[in-house]
Amino acid sequence: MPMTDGLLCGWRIRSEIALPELLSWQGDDRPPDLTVCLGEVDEHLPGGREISPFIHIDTNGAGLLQVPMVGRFLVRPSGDITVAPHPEASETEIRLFLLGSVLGLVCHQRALLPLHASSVVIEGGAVAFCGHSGMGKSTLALRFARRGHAVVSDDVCVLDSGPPARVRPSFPRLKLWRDAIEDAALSSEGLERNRRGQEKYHFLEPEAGVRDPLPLRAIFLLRRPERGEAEGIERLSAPLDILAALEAETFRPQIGRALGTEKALFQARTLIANSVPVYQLRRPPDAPPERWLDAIAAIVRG
Amino acid sequence: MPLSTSSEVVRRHHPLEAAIGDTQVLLDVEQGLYFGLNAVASSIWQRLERPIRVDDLCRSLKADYAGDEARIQAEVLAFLAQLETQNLIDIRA
Repeated sequence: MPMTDGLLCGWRIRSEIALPELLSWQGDDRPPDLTVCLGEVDEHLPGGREISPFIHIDTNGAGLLQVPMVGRFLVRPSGDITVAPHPEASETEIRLFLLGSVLGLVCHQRALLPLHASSVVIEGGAVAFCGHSGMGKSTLALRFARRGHAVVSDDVCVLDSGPPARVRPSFPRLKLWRDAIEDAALSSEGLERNRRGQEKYHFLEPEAGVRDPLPLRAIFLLRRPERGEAEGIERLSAPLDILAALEAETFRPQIGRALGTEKALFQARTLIANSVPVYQLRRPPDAPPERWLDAIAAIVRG
Repeated sequence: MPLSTSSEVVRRHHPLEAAIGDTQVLLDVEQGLYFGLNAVASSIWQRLERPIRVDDLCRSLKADYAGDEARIQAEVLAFLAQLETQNLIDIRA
């Protein structure tokens, strides 16, 4: 049965695996930019260089992602993606990596900067929340979504080549710990499980998606206060601090180095450092997000 | 190679460069390191694109910046020593 093509970061994607997270393609009748097929994927990538135990890149720029118990993903620079699922993997798990790590890899192949960030629309622009897993990126985004803000990205936030600094919207899905969903007074029943055994769920707000690139308004780096440090929001001012933070929040920068796209990534980071305020938001990860929402919105409004 | 006013110095790699506010930022891709240069450091760095003798470098800076020769020379030598420590320049006899 033919499926409708989807919209992912401005790309037309045609997939043999259903991707209900995505908005449908409503653009021109161009051929797909990305195709996803099910098929055999060899565990060895000829001429491949190890980027991490799970990622190899060959000299043509193709990437092989191997996720134990989930499957193998061969990502060619042409945009042809072959997925060989592990027999026990669920579709949710496959999609999690397809729309996460594989998306990050596709960005590197196209010399676009992928940041680890959830982002929402505030004042007509994208506001990105970066931080380690468990620091509350998706939770903050969910709270904003409940206030009517559209979700721009979850996990991988794709920067357009610019200038100006703009975000290519991914899809309106958030990976959330069950507590976060219950705290937001939503039921986790009926939502799909993320990885087996993980109490993390997908929350879909298809009507809340964004189609077109948005200016990047601000970045908030979610940090745990060091001992003796007060909670609060502080703008980073030293250029090297900003660049180091953006490098730390880049999805697997080693892939960009292997593909020789450092220059494009450097330009994207310096464009942000020159034109987008970057803040550090220090708070314990389990602190109620509510009190920060107004503060964040007020800062973005200026 | 010991550094003196008769040494010839030159950039070693060609790092990526961008201005962020008043700071010139360098990224040495090979080393994976960022460097920030203020205005004076940046004007020295710009003069190191081609091999140049340290005393010629100091003369050229003296033309642009007020300051006595001995002080300029001392500061230039100190800065070049830093650049060498960071593997950003080569020093030739």
